[in-house]
Amino acid sequence: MVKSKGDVLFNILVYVIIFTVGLICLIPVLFVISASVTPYSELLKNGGFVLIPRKFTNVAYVEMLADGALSHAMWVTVKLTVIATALNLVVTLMLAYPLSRHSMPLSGAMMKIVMFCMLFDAGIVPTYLIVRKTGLINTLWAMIVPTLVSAYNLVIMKAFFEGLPEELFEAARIDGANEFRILWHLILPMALPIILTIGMYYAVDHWNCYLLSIYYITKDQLKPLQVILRRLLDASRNAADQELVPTETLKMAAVCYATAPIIVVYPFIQKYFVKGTLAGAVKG
Amino acid sequence: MMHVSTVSPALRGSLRDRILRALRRYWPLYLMAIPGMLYFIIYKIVPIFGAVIAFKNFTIKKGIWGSPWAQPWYQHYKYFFRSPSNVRIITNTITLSLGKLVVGLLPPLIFALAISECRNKYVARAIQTVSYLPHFLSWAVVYGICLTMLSESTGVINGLIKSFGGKTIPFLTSNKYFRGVLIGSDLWKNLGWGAITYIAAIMGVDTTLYEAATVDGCGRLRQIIHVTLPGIRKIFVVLMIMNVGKILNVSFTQVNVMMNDSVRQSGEIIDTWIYTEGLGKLNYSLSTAVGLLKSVISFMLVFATNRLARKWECAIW
Amino acid sequence: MFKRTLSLILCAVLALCCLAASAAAEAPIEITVAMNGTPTGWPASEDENFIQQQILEKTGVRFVMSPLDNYAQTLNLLVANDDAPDMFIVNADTMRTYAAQDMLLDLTPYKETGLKCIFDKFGDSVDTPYLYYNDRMYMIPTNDYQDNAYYTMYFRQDWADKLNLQAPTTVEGLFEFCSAIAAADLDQNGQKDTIGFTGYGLQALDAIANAYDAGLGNYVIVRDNKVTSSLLQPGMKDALTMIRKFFEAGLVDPDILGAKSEIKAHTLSGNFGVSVMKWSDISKAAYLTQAHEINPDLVYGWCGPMASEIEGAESVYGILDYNRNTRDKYVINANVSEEKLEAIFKVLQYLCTDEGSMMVYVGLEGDHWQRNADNSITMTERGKTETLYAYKYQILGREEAAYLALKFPEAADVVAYCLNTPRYIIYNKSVEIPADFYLSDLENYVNMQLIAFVKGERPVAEYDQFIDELYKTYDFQRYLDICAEQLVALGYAAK
Repeated sequence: MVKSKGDVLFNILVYVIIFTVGLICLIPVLFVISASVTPYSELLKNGGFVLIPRKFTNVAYVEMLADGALSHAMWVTVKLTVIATALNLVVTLMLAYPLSRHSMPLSGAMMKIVMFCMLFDAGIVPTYLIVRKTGLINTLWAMIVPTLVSAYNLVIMKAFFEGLPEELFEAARIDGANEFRILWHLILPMALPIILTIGMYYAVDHWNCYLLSIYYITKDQLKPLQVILRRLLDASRNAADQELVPTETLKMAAVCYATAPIIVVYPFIQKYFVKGTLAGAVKG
Repeated sequence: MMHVSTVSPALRGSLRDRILRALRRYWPLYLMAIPGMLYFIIYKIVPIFGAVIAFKNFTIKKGIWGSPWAQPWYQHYKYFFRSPSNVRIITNTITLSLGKLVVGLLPPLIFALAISECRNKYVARAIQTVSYLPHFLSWAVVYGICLTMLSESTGVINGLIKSFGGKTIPFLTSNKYFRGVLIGSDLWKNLGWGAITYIAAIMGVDTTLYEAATVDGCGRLRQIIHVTLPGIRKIFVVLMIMNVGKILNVSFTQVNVMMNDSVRQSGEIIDTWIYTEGLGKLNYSLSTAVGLLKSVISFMLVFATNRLARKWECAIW
Repeated sequence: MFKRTLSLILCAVLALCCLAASAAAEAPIEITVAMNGTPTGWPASEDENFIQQQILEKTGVRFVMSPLDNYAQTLNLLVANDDAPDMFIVNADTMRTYAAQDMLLDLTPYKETGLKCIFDKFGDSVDTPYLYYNDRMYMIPTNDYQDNAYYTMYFRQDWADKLNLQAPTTVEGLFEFCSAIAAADLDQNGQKDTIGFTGYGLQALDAIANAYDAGLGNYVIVRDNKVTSSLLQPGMKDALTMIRKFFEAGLVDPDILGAKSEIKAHTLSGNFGVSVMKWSDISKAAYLTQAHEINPDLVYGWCGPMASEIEGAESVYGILDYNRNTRDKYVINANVSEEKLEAIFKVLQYLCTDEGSMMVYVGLEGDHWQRNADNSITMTERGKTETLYAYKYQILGREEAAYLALKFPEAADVVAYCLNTPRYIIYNKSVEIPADFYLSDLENYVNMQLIAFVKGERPVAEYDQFIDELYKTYDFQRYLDICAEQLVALGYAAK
């Protein structure tokens, strides 16, 4: 294929944009990783900034893995993320689909209720009361049920379903398929990228679960990873005289440890992101 | 259904018919919606009644319903609006949130377009993976990174400035730059993450349209303008409306972590003020009152944006 | 059929209840305690917590301490929902808020009974007004230990020796000292990057302001037996002018008003003239090792208050509340049963014994420490690693000097120096501010403007105008009146 001048320019522009963004995002992240394997004194000497470590230490990782609290919290978080994301996806999907069908009576009213819920926050005291009344305090469910559906994700999913042409449904219905079958066999395969994306949004939210767990969980055995991580990171901000503040090296190692498992998820689902997955089914 | 009771008996016959017809045709859809709607009603709508403490003087022993009414009913609003800092914190909240909304609007979209236009799939995937890494760092860590990059004495950027003989810039301790740092670090943290939705949307655009455009002799830039952008117009507007709804919730955590007394003038927002005045002093009535006010304002904003979006047939409802 | 099933179920429920009741009678009574922050070395499970096991063994009480994250906010939420633990730690403001809502147990009736051991051990001086609200005692008294009194001015003794400098004793001397070191490039890296003066925020600059009998903050003080504010001191303008001199000469750390971690890193890396730090942030073995890894020759020295520039005034340095005993203290939930209260007192009494107090200082005899022939105490290797969290159990405070000498022998000199430094005495914590007064707005404004003055963003000549703003916009007169009224009532000042 012969490349026009405009095409070359366009390519250059594309690469400039993605490499700039890539670099701006990579350098600070690289710093976090490097800091986690550099001896603390070396860090201090360099004013806290080391991009490529010249001296190497794994002391922080050894110390961290020896700490039972962190690995236990990791297990809690994995459990929480898997269960909660699965539930989130099922319930969101089952609500987004009917809401996208404008021919269904009351779908507009239901949508308004959802928007109202997104915008009106009752405040923490009444919410805590409901969570307690429904018996969730100090259970894993306290971190799952109060955020069962995110209005934000719901609206995104609904917007995708609305893009599906009405004829598709008509055709399926004439074939005698009921709504469950339409959703399962027709919609689901077509909307896979958006479902995976939203699934990842949910999973990341649960992985980063912090506020829910400090409000509703007082048992240490049920505290998720982010709480333990925050304890480490905040130690220098409100340290008592008696406390030994963890070094930057240890903190950054904890950040890497707590982040790595969730980061590797996206590359796995990226392979479902192929242009034209919806094969003409979705129009804006 | 609640609908039934509000309608006069004369209309009931036909309404019941309509309901029965709707149920017969759509019952699987209603069934599907039940768990989600139940969630919203129990965990979102019911607590909203408890927000009545905004107009009460909430005391623990008496609870939400037993607490006495505030005197006058707008007592807590009066306290908020009479605060000597109110002009500053309201201005800061609005500037910061508008800044974040405007600055954060286009970069994720442009980045998403660039990624999807990149012909080398390996490069595209690798860079996209890198780009959303910052989203996973908590604000405490992001602040640590800001310190190593921007601090005046040992920061990397000021080090570069110094080595070129320039004057150091107090990014983190001057009111002149602080808002920029807040907006910039927010953009940095969420750019790649925000692009994910757009990339998923771009993947959904019909490939036959591109083929048709190529046949018509469109270059790639014109393909973007004529095919891709119209194809993801809807999701763009939807996301914008949702972000308008969050406009008054400028990240509390971010400001709380990054602010210090020397930038309080430009950094203090409603949420940080409420944190000390309301939650810190067990004054839940005050924090609920201000929260309610914020909700009403964002509700109106979303309503207006949605009305506007209807013109482009992109409304949320 | 239905009736039979029902009666069967009822029987089963009854039996279960009996079982549960009998089990409860045998199990030790459990007291839940919330602590602020998670200490280093906090055991992952209760079985590994030797202090909890020891308390259980000695008193028969399961005294379960657990950390609450995001402490103040979470505690508020739990208290507001009547879900608070049996005991928790609070400051005076929070105590007053909770006590006003009847959420705390009034401890006054137990001063002669359950809590008597504390007064027996530490004397009546621990019974301060700070523990009270509306004439009722709510906080469990602790032995006198000081909160903010640990700041001191560190410098590098090895550098001072190299340049033949004496530790500064006047503000001018401090200026000379910092300039000399900043100019000397003693780290020999060929760059003019040595910081003259550093420390944590405005409070660090009090080192200079205190010499003018002023303070950089909204400090309530008593002068000539009258209540006034440090902001109204005649020396304030001179103090600000002097501080400006430090800034204009480029001696002050540009990050001084920024993040604490940054300042501490500057001090550890050793490239500074004078650094205002708490001993606990610098002089512990672990930090000293870090500092020595960077600068093997490093020796810290410290210096005290700069001579007062005001005639007749005492030379002081560092802010300290008049009521020295103002650390957070434990309170008891109003809902605890008689039984639980008895159990709490039992634990407190055990902590009052010599064995109990040694346990929360340095652990168990034999395991964690040994008594030498001359009656002194040596900590074992196990003691050094396993007792890191023991201080969280110092619910009754501690004998400060003795304890620190035992646990941090490496810091003994500087601690003794800190404890003997005359301080700038303030009264803020003794005053209860009414809910409708915008105190934090006032204090924030004061801090913001003082920062503007010292950074030169606002000329010192406008200082009187700034005070006028305080009176006009922030109701400063009312604040002073409130303070005066309460401090006079407490007998700290005259009308």
